[in-house]
Amino acid sequence: MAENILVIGGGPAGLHAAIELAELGVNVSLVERDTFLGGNPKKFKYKYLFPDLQPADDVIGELIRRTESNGNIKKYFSANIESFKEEGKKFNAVIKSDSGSETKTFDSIIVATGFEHFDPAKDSKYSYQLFDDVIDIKDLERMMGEGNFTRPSNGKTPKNVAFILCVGSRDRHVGNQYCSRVCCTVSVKQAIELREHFPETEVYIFYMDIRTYGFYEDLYWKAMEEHDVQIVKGRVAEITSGPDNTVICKGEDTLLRGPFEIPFDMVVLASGMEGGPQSPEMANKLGIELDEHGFLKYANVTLSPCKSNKDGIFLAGACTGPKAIADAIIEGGAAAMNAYIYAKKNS
Amino acid sequence: MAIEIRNRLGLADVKSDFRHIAGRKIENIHEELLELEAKGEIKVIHITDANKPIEAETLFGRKKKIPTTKLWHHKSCGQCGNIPGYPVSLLWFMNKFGTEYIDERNQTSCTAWNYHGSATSNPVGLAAVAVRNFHRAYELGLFPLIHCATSFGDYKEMRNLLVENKELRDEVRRIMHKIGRELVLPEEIVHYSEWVHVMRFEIAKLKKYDLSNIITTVHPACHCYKMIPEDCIYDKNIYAGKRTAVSTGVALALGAQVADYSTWYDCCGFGFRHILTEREASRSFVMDRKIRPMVREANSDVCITQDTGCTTTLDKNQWIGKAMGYTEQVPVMADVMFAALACGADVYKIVQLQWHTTDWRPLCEKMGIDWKKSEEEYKAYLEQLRSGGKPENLYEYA
Amino acid sequence: MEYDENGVSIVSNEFKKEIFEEAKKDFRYEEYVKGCLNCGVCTGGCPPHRFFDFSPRMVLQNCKSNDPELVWGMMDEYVWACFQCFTCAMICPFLNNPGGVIAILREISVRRGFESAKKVLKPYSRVLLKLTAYGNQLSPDMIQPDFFPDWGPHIGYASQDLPLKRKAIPMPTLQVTNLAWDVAPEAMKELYTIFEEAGVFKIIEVVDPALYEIIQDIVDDVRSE
Repeated sequence: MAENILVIGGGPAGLHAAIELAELGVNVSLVERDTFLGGNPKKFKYKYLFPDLQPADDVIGELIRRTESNGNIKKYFSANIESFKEEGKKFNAVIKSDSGSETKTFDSIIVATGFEHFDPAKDSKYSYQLFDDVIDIKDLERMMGEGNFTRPSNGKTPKNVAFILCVGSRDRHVGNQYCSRVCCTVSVKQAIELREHFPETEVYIFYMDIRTYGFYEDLYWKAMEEHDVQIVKGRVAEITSGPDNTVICKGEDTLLRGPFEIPFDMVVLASGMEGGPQSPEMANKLGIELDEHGFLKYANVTLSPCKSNKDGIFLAGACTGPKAIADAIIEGGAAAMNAYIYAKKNS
Repeated sequence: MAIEIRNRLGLADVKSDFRHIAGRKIENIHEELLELEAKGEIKVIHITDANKPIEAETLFGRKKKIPTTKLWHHKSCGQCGNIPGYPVSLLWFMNKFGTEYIDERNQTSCTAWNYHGSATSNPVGLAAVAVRNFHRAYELGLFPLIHCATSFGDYKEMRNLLVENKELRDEVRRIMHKIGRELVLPEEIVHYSEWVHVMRFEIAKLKKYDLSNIITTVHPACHCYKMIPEDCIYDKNIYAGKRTAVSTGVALALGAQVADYSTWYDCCGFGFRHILTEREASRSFVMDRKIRPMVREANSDVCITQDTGCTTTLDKNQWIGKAMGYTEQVPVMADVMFAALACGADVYKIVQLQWHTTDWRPLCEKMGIDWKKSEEEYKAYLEQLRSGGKPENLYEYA
Repeated sequence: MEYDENGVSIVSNEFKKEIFEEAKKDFRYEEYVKGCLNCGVCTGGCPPHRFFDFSPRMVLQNCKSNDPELVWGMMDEYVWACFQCFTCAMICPFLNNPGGVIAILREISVRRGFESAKKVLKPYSRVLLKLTAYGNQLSPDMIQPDFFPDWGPHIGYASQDLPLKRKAIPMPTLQVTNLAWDVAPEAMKELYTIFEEAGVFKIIEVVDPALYEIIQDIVDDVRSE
């Protein structure tokens, strides 16, 4: 008899895990809170993915197509786990979805509940929601994806744009002390895209330090060398009204100019990642641990990175901490292998 | 210019569904305060139903109770000597509302000038002065309402230090016993501008003049919203909850326009030490960083303040600016004074604008206030007093 | 402290270390000094940074350096440039409080009677007197054209008929000219006890002995009333 495995979350990690398991002949139940597959990249219409600026649709679209065409994957939309009980080595779950309630028994579970974009409205100093022309990287990604990048205030192409890094990350005011890992790379990627599409638009990046780790370092070399992006060391302290319908970014250029007050047509906030709202709910329902940052906790971060503290429940993707899509997909595969081994042993 | 100003109006009216996130520990302070009370370590002046409190949301979403009656006025040592219309306007409103209050002689300055200005005090001294004044309100069964932003900031800080440090508590308690008092802290540290804010719709009902063509610019006080910022009022419907709501809230409620300007976050240039010993710094700051942007960018008719030092610094330093080629001028007054003017309080007897340096007459004229009549009446009143007449006071004092 | 023939103080490394240790021993220090990665938010928002050689970022960096020389270097005019507006404390992502550090360093400077502190505080004596002897500050009779010539001719308004104009303020507590409000003697007496017990009088004695004498005379008078 085939194994039954529950995958919670239909983003990159969950989709990849479901596909791998299905190809091993497992009966996969894929539970998705939204009405569509693809997670945040789909929801916020990501356009290009770093590091190679591959169209997001080639990656996320491909995962969705493979999921949809595989008969071993049963998909539940607008779904959640209504109740959950352990029985010996197995798990009983009631899945409530747009097609009603269903009770099923599973051999193992993969939690891939993902992350939430930090809402910059939570940090007053950036004046997000106060000034129309202050947006964040997910807003910009959507605008680029829809092909209508203009100033929200007047529909015109901006003369200059500022990116502000570390919004909602590495900031105790908002309670997020951690680095969100991907926002630097996404911002530099977006800066390059803006310069390519709108060569008349000046682009600035204000940073505390640029964490384009590993090979992603190539990106800011490229941004500076080929696209003349201005990269300035100094976090922005205030955003206020500027002349001619601009917004002023005020801060300290800690290396060169000292205090600055520069009017911009647009400001893009590199808002970070927070634990998905489903993560605490899952932690509570399934009896797994949440860490102090609001993400799900590995049993052992080096030895068994896909295992939760509970046998038979595995973790994948950004629900355990900020990470890039490529890493989330790798974890989906690793979690699938762990979940499969566990199910095999106990069925 | 016209387009420029239009862009700066309406910002104060932006609404949002914001929710701030706390990385700070203010909730703990309030819990710890109550725990200390339960342990008998301190006494707490509670805000009860008798105070008819109105709740307001703070920076991180905590609800702060603002008592609206049974108040003990903690006056400001800068206001009373220099801007008397400031406390008078506040008491004038309280009389209109039938608010119960006491204004008395048994009160000292918070002495925080010796903290921020001269450093000739220390936390024990400052905390003990704070608690002495709190205890005076406590023994009268009243809640302290703090008039000055520096006192407000200092008292918030002393409250936190006292809650967090047993040694400081023990030392202050020891000193309190020497003067026959006890270690008392109020449940909330409340600034008068917060009282004005929660009363703003009641205040607006008293409005006598149309303010729709008055452009105000607000200068928020650093010691209000930058010191212990988590205790300050923010409102989802004012500046989208991104900036402190007090003062702006009452101006909007009265139907005035509130304009943004590029240096909203800047201080006034008072600097404590600088206003006395390095005055050219304060002057330049006032003109370059506040008055000129308010006038040039927003065409402001009036600068609305919420503190003693800011009102003084911004008002008094415009005259000398002219010598340095700064032609921009804007009258300066506190939110409660502006509100009193709008509600028909007498320009001279109540709002006491005669003590102000920068010309406020054009503002009165634009509002439709007959200040000349008021001036005549005031002169007559002075003559009456000179010949032994009895002063018309807002309250009787034994 | 020792001085050379030009009146410049000779400061040993041990003394600088002692000053730094005194700052670190203050119970507020740990709360004010955390980590710092030079992001510049504090200095970017700092009002006096635009007018003075003063940077809250450098205040934090100097403290974190553990180098007494760098902290000592701030003990003269540098610490007195701060406006004490606490913009830095509000916006620092690490929750440092450079403005608070300045308060600690100033207090040491005053407590130890450093020449720089004495110099800075000299023009303060009138305010210091009112505040310490009467628990009050800017009295109406202090607002005279001689003291505030740059506040314009209207300042003279307060020098004519002041008692009458104060009497016309409809708050009985304010109808005085020598104080902002008429502070009750019992409140002053309590304040004196606080200042004695907290060591505030002692601080003033160190930094301005002449002023201290005047204050003590007033204290004696009030107490004997």
